[in-house]
Amino acid sequence: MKARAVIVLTCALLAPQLLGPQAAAAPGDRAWLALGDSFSSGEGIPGTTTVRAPDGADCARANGFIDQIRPSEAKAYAVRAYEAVRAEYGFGSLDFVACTGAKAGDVETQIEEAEDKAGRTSWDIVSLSFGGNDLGEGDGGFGEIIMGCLDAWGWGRTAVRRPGSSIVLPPAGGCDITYEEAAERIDALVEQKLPRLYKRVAGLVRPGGDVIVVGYPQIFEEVNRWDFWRRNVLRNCEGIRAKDIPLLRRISDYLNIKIAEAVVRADAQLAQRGVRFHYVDATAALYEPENSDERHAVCSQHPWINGLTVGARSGDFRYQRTFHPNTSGHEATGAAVAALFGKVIRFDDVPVQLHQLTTGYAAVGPSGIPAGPETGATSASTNFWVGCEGLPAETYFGLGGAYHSVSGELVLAPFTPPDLMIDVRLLGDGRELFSTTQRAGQHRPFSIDVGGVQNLVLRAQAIVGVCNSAPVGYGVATEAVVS
Amino acid sequence: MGFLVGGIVALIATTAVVVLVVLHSSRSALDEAKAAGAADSAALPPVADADATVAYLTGEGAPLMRMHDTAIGQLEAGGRDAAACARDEMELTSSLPMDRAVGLITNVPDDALRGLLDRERTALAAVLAACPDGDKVAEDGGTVAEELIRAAALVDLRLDDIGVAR
Repeated sequence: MKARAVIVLTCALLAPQLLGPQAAAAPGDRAWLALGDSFSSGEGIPGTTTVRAPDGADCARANGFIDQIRPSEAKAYAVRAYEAVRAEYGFGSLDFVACTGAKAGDVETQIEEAEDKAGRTSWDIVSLSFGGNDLGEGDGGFGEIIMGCLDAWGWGRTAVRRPGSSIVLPPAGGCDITYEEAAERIDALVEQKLPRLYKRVAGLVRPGGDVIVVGYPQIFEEVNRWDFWRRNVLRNCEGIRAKDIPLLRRISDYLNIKIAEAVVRADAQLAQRGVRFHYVDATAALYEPENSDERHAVCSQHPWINGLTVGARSGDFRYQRTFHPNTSGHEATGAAVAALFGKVIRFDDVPVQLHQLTTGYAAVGPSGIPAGPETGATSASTNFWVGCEGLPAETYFGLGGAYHSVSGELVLAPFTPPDLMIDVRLLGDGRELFSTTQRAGQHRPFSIDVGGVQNLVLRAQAIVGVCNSAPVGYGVATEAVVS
Repeated sequence: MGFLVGGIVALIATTAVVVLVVLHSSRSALDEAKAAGAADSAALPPVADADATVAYLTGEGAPLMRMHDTAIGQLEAGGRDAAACARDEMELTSSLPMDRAVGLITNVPDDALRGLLDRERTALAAVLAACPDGDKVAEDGGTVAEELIRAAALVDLRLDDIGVAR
């Protein structure tokens, strides 16, 4: 077999696509990205600026500014949390791109807008709420479901046949969706869209940073907690009949439960990259805390959510403010988000990258010149040589018994000959922990228990095909970290 | 003499009964419903901003009073007049489209009246949707017509309390 060249270059120069985000910023340089839908943009707060997003969407944003110069008191929760922790945790910027009506798939547009405005591609904190707008048949999302309970499609016979729909309602009216239909949409959201969304967002976060997912508050108070006169005389809450409230609450509960589960799964999958996910349960923690009479849905004693009347009272007749958190709601949510700092958000969970523990290597081949994982010294990737002369190349890592697991994803560098097959093994204190064969184009995630292991050996050898000259080793363990 | 007195008393009693029966018969369905709904109406919170509500209902919100009149017309007809149903549906659809009705109701200053008008709106829509079979059973166990009677009576009582002239 032919020996490879031994020019040592960094992966950062040769294969930037393999690199993860840079490590967490120093205090003072930290950056916060506020993504999300209308519950994050502050739609329910009077005085929001209305801007046109790059995709043409009409965004009401309570970002704390009327324009680029004049400040405003209209501040969504992310702005309030940012201001609360800015000094102590050394934040230098907040990029606010949350937008009314945004669906999970709109996150790309928001990211592009943030990157264009901020001139950066990674942040230390990303906050967001997504999912509510993915539940409607049209563009209205959960709001569309609520409006479907208003019996507002028309008078007489037109009232029982929703425009553009084959659904025929009973004359007595009511919501035009069942719990089962809503649950099906939520399941689809959680299984198909949220995992992709969370993975995408995690890719924006520097190792050691965090993603904060804020759940949705219950919009309507429980009927049995309404005032007597509302429960027994009006029998409706802002146009929604008492009998429809349990359905809406049940749908909202299910949505939040499933989002919370998705967040837990994302955290488990992405924590090893040094990105932690946190879920803020807006209903249970803020709007309707257990064992408390302090409740804040519409038709409670002290609502933090706008009713139907907000259009007239806010002074700007913006109907979209209906059924969205008001200033008090965002104040409370902002405080809850800020309270995560110092408790679960500490910026100290930057993972140790595998190449940082390198203690030596055994290069092979006629050149006899070793080259090892220091080629990945500035990235989250660990580069390793492959033995091409009938013997394996080895790279040694000193774990010292201080770690529990090693994880990452094995790939071969883009310039690897396509017919090459490589045998890769990991040995802990002489015992084989992992083995696989690897071809170009394959991605093989690994997560190995290394509890008690003092010395780890990564052994790689070409077993089929012919090597070419190459500036760095063919082997790459991307996002390889120990924890 | 005693016979004469007895006869006069009997005559007066008979007359009174007849008058009562006549009076009772002439009482409108709305009046009866208002009498039945008085206790419920008394449970509502006090009127907070009567002047603003009167001004609204005689100005921008005036179409809501026409909706209320339509509701009374329907309950007086018992929802059994197919021609009246069709006429009312057409009239409302052209003069007060549903989305406009919702919008006007949301701006009613008095909280309780706002909720009651919404109840009347949905009840009226249900009655018109059920025409000409005005006795269709609603999901809540009552009839759609009965719900309209209750809702219209409560609206009317609240309008009385607020001092809205009709």
